[in-house]
Amino acid sequence: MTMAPASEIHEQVFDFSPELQPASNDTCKIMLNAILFNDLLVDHIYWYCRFRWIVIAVLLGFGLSSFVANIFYYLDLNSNLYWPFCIAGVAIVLNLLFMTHASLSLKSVSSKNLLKNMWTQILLDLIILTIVVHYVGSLNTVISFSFLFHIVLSCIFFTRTQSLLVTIYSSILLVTCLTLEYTGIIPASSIYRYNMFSPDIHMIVIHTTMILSIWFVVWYLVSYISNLVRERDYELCTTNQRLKETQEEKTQHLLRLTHELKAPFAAIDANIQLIQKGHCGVLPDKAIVLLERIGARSRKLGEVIQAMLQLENVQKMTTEMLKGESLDLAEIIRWCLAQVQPTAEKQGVKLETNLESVHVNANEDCMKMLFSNVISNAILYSHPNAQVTVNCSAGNPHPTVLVEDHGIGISPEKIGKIFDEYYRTDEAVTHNKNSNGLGLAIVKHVAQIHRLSIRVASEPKVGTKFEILFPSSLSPST
Amino acid sequence: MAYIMIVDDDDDFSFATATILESAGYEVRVESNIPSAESSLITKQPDLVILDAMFPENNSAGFELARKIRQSDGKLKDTPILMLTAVNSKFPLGFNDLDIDDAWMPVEDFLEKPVDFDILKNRVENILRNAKNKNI
Repeated sequence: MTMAPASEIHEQVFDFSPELQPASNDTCKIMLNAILFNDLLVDHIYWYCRFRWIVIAVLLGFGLSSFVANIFYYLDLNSNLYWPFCIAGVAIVLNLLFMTHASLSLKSVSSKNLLKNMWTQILLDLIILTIVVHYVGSLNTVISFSFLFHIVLSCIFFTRTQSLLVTIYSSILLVTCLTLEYTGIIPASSIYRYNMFSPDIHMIVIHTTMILSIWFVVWYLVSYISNLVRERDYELCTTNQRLKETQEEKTQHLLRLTHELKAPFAAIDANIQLIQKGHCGVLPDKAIVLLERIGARSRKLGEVIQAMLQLENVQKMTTEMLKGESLDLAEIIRWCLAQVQPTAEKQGVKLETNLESVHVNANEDCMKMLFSNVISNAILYSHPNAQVTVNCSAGNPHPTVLVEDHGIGISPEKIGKIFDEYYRTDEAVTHNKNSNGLGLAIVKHVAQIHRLSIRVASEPKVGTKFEILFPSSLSPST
Repeated sequence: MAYIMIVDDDDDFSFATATILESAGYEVRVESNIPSAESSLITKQPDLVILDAMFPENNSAGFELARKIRQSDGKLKDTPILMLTAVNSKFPLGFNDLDIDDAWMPVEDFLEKPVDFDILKNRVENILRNAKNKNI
């Protein structure tokens, strides 16, 4: 007899003790660095490349000027220089290579490759700069201070140790250049036609010591200040990252909440319809009436939940988050009118429309929420058999939608509160018990994120006029 | 008789929907989770799939199944899909961008719960008629 192998027991420990939950600051720092690192690095690489194009343009301009008749002669400078073109040519090739390499590394999300790219750029740039310094004049001009650009940039972009390495590397290159020139291995060069002075070894040492001292003082000051700024930047980045994560969790939670709250009412409604359609046999009249009441109440509760969730959703939306699309307001309003048509028929309200096709950049769902609420309010608070007018026009100067009813109206002292959440006037509650006081709060938030203006004019027992004005910034052409 | 598959984790809702559709003359099968729906789709190909969007373990499981159907081999990839869910899938509420992109969401129609069964029957009838005309 063979025995079946014992099934493996999988055990997993879920520890919810709070002291084990928060990660240490260092862990957070490493995790966030990993997330932020590539983006920052790529930004820096592209910035360096853009800056190099400017340097290349300056070199080419300088080289070309040297060929323009007499300009350099009158400035006592050497004419017909070829070295700026050679150096610019090398820099152009290198720049194209760096940019291509960075975009390829970005696709493979390889931070190692991006780092290599960055450091190769710096090392080669400094060599090129040393050659420029040699040609311009290493001691009889102030060109050697141009190394400070690189030292300052490295202080901004890198850690103190890394920027110190850049400063030391620059010092080595300058000292090497001066040594080669002094020993005659390479002939000393200058942009001046007449050499102003021929320094001896003592002057060279003093001169070089002064230059290098200035470089190191600049490195110390800039790297110190930069470190302080970077720490503040890091704190902001960390906070921003946490906010994004929290926001993402909230939206996921809201999505699940909407589903969990609406689904039971959908099931109740579905089963009530099943009974009403006679799938469970014939019911007594009283039971049918009760079922209708249960169904109506269930639908009402579902609508309140929908309104609460819509309100919460629009409250957390911002103008920046909007995915605006070119919409025809007339079409949106027609869609809303079709939704509220059954209510209008039930109330005996006649809908009078004059809809001109007007295009605006806006969020479709938000616009549907806005107009559905304003138009259904106009219908619900109208006198029986009254008329509701809905006009849409390109307007002068702004696209405008007008919704006017002949109904219970709003007294002047209450108009200021109608956009408050859950606010309902006594007259509104008496006229329509099913109101939930959330519709105009949703309208307010949609208007805020789209920067719309709403004019409300009303007279008690006569009617209310809502005028919704779209700013020119929402026109598709802008 | 057209064969309709309902994929929904809400048993109460799917029971009512199935009863209504059966009484309208359709053959109906209810699947309450994605894996069993996937194997049923292979066993017998439906003429229409009525699909919920959100399932307990994955908020986008319905969208993912819709995409799998469209990317499958053979006739299955042309199966009409009617999305029927409690959340308005077009509202940017936590679905990913692909899920709410009209160009990407590969379904024939979309209805939001609670749904009027007369409207549902009309939509089902239209989708099946269109699919039939397409095949002729």
